Amino acid sequence: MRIRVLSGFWLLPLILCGSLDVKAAPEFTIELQNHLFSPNEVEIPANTKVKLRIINKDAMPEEFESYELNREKIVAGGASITVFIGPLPPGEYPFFGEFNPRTAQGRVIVR
Amino acid sequence: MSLLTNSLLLVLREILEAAVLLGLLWNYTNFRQLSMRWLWWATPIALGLSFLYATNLGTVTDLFDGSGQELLSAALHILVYFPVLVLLAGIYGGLSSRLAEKIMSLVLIAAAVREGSEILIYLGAFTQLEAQRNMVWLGAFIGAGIGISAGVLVSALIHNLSRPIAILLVGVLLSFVASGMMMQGVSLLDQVGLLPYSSSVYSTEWLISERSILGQLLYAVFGYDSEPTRTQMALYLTCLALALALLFSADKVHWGRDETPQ
Repeated sequence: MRIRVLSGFWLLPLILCGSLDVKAAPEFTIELQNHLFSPNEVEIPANTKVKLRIINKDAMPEEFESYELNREKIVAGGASITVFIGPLPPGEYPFFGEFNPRTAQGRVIVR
Repeated sequence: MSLLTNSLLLVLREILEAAVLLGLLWNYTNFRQLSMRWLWWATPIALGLSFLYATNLGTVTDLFDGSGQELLSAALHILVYFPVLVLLAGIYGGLSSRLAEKIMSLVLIAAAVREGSEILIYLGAFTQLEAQRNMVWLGAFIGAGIGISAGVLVSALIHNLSRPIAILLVGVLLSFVASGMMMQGVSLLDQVGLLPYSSSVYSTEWLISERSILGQLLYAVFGYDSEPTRTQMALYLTCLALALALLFSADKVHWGRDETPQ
């Protein structure tokens, strides 16, 4: 029991620190229609935490996934999700839709 | 990647973790000489909750200002780790049969709900698409078969070992699997911006890419991350050290008790 309580407290300051950055994060929107991301390239500033809003205009659900960004989240049909990424160094970070990986592809370009 | 391969890999990845975990718990049940009845009521609960999650995905996503999916999944991952610690502490005994069975049920349910719901959402998405449905279902069927076979293989291999080695191996593997789940849970908190930025400690992308089949399977079972952040790594090592310390202290207590002259 003592261990459980201590582990919980260990995470708390981290979570409080993290939630402070989130409020100021600039937002970028990507739409998904006919299993294609639009825009399929999103340019974001380097070393900045940003908020990606993914709007799924298809009726079918999709899973937004990126190994490079270490992100995965399901977006229901006709719904939207929010994913935070960064701060990242300059480079290219591909992402894809796991349910339709052949067509749903894009990348985040960090400059 | 073809639809068949994609479906196979997606379902395999989701099933593998639960199958390996179930294999380890099955061995735990055997060497603790417990009843398997916990599995018979944990399975329908896990399936029911997976269905509930899958059919209410939109509602779950919108909870906590859009962080519902991540927070619920992170909670499920944490719900695996802490009960596993109790199982490790009682691996040689000292944990009542009834409590051990309840804890194993909880671990299985928490591990299966997220993965089960993702499979249901994926298969449900293709149900209306006649042209693709058969390929997706065939891939899912093969993936599920491979995942379940891997779980059975792990169980059988451990079952054939001598009892002390089997107990130790189950304990060590449970420690790694549960710590990996904690690491995945932390990654989910980072995804909703709840953790402060921390840079990557190292990169093993050149050795095992997360995109590769091996990388995906290692992620599924042990939470493998080719570029973990400092926060993830610190938490993973702390969780692993704690689990192994409990396992080895339970071992010491057990052997100390055995060697005590009667």
